[in-house]
Amino acid sequence: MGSNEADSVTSAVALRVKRAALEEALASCESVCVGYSGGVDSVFLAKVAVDVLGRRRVLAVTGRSASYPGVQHEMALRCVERFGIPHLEVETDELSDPDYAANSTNRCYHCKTELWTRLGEVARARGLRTVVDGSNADDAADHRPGARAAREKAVRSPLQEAGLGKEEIRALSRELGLPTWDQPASPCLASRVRYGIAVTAERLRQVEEAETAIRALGVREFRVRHHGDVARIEVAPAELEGVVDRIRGILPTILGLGFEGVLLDVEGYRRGALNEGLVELEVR
Amino acid sequence: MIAGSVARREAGARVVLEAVGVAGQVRSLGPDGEIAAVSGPGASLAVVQGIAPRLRSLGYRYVALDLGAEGPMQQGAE
Repeated sequence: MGSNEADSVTSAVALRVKRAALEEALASCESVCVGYSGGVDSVFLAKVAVDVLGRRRVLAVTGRSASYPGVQHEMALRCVERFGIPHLEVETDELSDPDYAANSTNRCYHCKTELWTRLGEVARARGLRTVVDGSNADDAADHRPGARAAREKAVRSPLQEAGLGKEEIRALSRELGLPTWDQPASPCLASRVRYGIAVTAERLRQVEEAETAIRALGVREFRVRHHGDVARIEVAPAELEGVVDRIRGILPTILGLGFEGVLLDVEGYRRGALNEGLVELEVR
Repeated sequence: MIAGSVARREAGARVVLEAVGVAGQVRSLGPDGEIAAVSGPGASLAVVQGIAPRLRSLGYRYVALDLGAEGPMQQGAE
């Protein structure tokens, strides 16, 4: 056996071990209320939870608000229908929380506090023992104030407990036939608004409509970052070549949303770009 | 960022552009002038990618091609 082949076998075994650890973690929860966004991680978690615990002991709950992308909502609904995952939607109102709307670097903490409070209420009302989220092993490396809110609300993260990272979750999702396996990550729309610029329903609308226009060009992985007057677009490096003229073709659409300028970041999309050089910023 | 430092960074950015033969301009955009927005003749994606590290070393957090604008844009805050 060559070294590449041996590495491949080793990683396949490691993946099985982690998958078994995930099943054990879910079994120890007894019954779960899953924070369900329709993203790669939460769809995988909800599907495995149903497989391990059965439908009667699982409820996937989606928190809906202005910061939740419509395209992700469509995927969330598609997956619960296709895989028979019990599902509930609750309205969350983080925009009415001044601490959230101020968009400090702790914004996610305030949003997740609202979300996990609502899911805790649902879990208690439905007799579900544990609230779980789709945080994975890779998430520990990024700036994630939302994780503190989860800890404070006793939310468990089975994917993280099992040591599963994003690529492993994608591989296992593919095995399960989940349509999300190669879906680009899509965090909430507020994550596109530069820290220090207040999050408003109007700014979230600008971001979502600009992203819809760019997605229609066939660009897969990108973000529209809101810097107040200007939109700074990050496109995955692999897709950057050739995208300049296509985006120039929809400039009137993006400018028509209320941006005074449209910029294409030459270094391309990178996760957490607005976290680069984090400083506490004054709210404008 | 104060206006003086924005002006200094833009002057530095112009020197960088001239050094690679780009007859374009750099504007500092975003609430703190954190974005170097490059436009003008010769400012292609490949060229601006090539000078991005030097522009970042001037203090810009992001380097971008300026694809289009309408009206005045906010520059670095006082």
